[in-house]
Amino acid sequence: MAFKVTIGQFYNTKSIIHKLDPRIKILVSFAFMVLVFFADSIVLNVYIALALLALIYLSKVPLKVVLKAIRPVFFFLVLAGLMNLFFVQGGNVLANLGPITISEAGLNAFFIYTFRFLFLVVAGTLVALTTNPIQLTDALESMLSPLQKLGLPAHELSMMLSIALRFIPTFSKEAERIIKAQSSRGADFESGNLIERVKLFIPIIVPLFASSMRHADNLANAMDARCYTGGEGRTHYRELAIDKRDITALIICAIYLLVFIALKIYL
Amino acid sequence: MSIVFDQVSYTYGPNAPYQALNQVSCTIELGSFSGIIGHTGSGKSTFLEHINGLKTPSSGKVLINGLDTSNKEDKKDIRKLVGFVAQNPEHQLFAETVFDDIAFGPLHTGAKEEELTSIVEKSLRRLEVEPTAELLASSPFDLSGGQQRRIALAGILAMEPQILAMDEPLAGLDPQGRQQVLKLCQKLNNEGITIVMISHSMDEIAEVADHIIVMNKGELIEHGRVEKIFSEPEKLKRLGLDIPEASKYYFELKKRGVDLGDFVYTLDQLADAIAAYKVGGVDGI
Repeated sequence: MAFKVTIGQFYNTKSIIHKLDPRIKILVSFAFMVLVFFADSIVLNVYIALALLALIYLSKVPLKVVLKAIRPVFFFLVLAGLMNLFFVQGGNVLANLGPITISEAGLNAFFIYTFRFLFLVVAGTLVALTTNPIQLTDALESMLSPLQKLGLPAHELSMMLSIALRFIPTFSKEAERIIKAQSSRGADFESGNLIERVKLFIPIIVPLFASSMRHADNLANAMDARCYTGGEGRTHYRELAIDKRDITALIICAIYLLVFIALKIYL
Repeated sequence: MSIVFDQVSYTYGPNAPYQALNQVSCTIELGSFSGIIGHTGSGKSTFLEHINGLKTPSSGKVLINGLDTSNKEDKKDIRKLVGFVAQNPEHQLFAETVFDDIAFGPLHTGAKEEELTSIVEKSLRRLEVEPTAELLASSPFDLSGGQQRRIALAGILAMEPQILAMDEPLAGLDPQGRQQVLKLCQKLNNEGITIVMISHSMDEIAEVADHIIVMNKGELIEHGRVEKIFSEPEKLKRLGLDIPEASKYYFELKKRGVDLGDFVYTLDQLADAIAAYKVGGVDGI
C-alpha cells in the first residue's frame, strides 16, 4: 500500500528566486495578488502573465512541476470559468444553446476571472515552490514579531509550525509501519465495504496517536535538556538578512508596479 | 514444505538508485530457526517482509508452503501462516483492552466469537503470561514496556502461525527482557514454529539459531549452519560483521596454542570445552 506524503511543495534547486529573502517573497507575492485584482483589461492581464512566466523561468522550476502543483485547483478553475461563461449576461448575445445563452459580458468574465484565479494560484505556488518550509516559518516569525507587543506569541507559533513540518515524514513512515503490522495481523486495507474500511482506521490512528505522544515527550525532553526557552532574545542559526539582491528585486518590483499603473491609466 | 526464495529481486520503483534485493535464492526448512545478519540497508528487512507478502518480488517468486506470495487469492492464507513481528511490536497496540487487541488477528482471519476467549488465553499462556481477568480487561497502554511487547507477541501468536518472521524482536529491551524473549523464541521453535529472525547481536543469534543468512547490499552472501558461518570470521569481517564472543575466545586460545577441539559459538559450549580441556592428562588449563 502506497502511503506517500510530500512536505509542502518545495522544489529544491538553486536559483535567484530561491535565494531571495523569504519575507520579500511573501510580501511581493501578496502585493502581486492584490495587483491581479486591478488587471481588468487584456493588456494588463498579459502584463501579469509575462511577469509570472519570467518568474517561473528565473526560478528554474520546470513548468511541468508548476502545472502539477496547481493541478488540485484545476477542476475548480474550470468550473468557476464555466459558471461565469454561462451565467454572466450582458452585451451582445454570441451564442444560443437551448436555455443557455453566452453573452459578450459572459465571455469577458470567463477570461478575466479564470485567469485572475489562475494568476493568484500560480503566484502563491511559486512562493511555496521556491522557499523551503523552514525558511517560510522563519519569515512568518520575523513578520509576526511586531505583533508580539500586542501579546501574539510569534516565536511559539512558528516553532509549532516548523515542528509540525519536521514530523510529517516521520509520521508517514510510522503510519506505513503500522499499516504493515496490522495487515500482518489479518487487517485487509484493500478490500471490504466502506464501513469495514473506516473501522480499520482505528488500529492505525490509535498507535499513530500514541507514537506522536511519545515523540512529543522525547522532543520536549531533548529541548529542555538543552535549556531551550522561548522567543525572547533568541538568535537563529540562519539569520534572515536583506542584502543587495533583495534590494534589487524590490526595485525591479517597484518599476514593474509603476509600469502597471501607467498601463492602467493610459490604456 | 518450506520457505522458498527463487531468484527474488526487489526495487523501490523504476527509478530507485539501488536494488533492495538482488537475485536472492534460498530455501528455509520448516521447523528451523534462522538468523539474518547484515548491515543496515543490506536488505534484511526487505527479505523478511517478503516472507508474509508485505512486499512482493519485482521479479522472481516467493513460495510459502507452495503458496505464491504474489498471488492475491493466497494472501490471507499466507498472512495466517506467517506471523510478522515488526520492530517494536508494542507500537502496534491499539485496542481498549488487552483482550480486544489479542483477538484482533483471529477475528480478521475468520475465528468464531465463542472461540476467542480460549484463543486469547492460550496465546498468553504460550508466552508465560497468566491471563487473569484483570489483565485482559486492562488497557495495553497502562502496561510496562516488556509486558506490552508480550501482549503484542500474543496478538500475533493468536493467529496460530506456523512461521514467525521477526524483525529485531529484542531491540529496546533490557538484558533481562532480552533473555526472556530469546528463551520464548526458542520455546516456540521447539513447539514446531519456524522462526526467521533479524538480529544485530551475534551472541544472541548463536544462542538460538541453527541457520544463518548473511546479507550484504541486497544480496544473499551466505546461507548455512551456524557453526559453519561463524567458523569463518574473515569472511564476516570483510562485510563488517562480527562473530560471537565465545568464538572469539576459541580462536584466540587456538592462536596461543590451546586447541579446544570442536568449534564453539555459545558461552555454554565454551565453558564446557574449557572444562573438558586436558593438558597432558591433567585437568584444566
